[in-house]
Amino acid sequence: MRVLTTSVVLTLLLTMGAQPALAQGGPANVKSLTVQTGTVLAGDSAWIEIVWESSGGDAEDFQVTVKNPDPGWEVRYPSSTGSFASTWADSTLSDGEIDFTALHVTVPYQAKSLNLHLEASYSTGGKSHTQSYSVKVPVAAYSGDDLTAGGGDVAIDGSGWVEVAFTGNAPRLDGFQMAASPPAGLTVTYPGDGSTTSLAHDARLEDGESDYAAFFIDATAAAPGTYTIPLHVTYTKDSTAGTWDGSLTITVP
Amino acid sequence: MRKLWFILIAALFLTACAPRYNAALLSSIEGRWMCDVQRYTFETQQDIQAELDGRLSGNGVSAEQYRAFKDDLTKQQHLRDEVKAAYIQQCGT
Repeated sequence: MRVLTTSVVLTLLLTMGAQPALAQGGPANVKSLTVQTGTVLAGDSAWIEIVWESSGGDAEDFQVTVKNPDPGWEVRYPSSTGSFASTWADSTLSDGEIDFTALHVTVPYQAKSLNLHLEASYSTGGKSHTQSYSVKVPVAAYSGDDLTAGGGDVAIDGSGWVEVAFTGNAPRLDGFQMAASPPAGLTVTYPGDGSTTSLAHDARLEDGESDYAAFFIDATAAAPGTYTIPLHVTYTKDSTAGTWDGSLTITVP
Repeated sequence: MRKLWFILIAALFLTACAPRYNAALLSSIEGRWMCDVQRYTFETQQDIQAELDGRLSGNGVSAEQYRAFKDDLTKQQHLRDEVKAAYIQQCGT
């Protein structure tokens, strides 16, 4: 009876998957299954993923770092690990298991597709192991308008602040500055008595980000009517200068 | 003897409480996910998890079931083989 009971209990425990979590097999052979990652836009930041597989044994304490990234490239690892990336589920790549690591890359505007040099370290069969890998990161140039401005007429009775809305389309526009060229009768003043105005949040406009640039208009000397104010925006995409030209319609009652 | 019976009952209880899952379905989801994720880029780290969560919920799989599957994945070679087969089917390598 005792033998029967013990057998039943052990069978149940095994069925429940209660096997001891010991390292499996011999030395692990880890390979990257990723030949190339998803495409990153030049000037943009993104998380990319690299898939790994272990065979022959478990690779424990699995850590991946990027070695000597190209100039202008910035690499960041998940906040949970900090100075390296580990596999998504946990830090062990079991024998025959497939899992991925995620890396955050910031790509300069001038970047071309490149091979990212990775170093994976892990312990297997009681020994530490380090191996180098290379994964291609395709980089595509952004095409299209760098930004979009919000339209609409503005009525100014006397004087007041005017806000011009912008949404970024290109990955990262820095040093955003806007100048208005008012016709006679209208006077424009910029915040801090500057010669231009920037965005309210900061001078960077990210893709998908909406912000606005404001300036003060004094229309007390203007005759009633409709006025068009040309607007000129300058910014940089890393070392490349960019411009946007538009206009704002002001109605003076 | 009493101890053994206690373990037996506890084991039966735990077995009954463990989340059940469709191993074939989850192996297929996992293999396809591993294939697809390397082709994607994500804005935030949370977006990666959100993409996976969307796939799971879209297939009627709960987070508890997925966790149980992932736990078993590290212990059961046949599950890893099924995931690899699904990966190869999707990615062709």
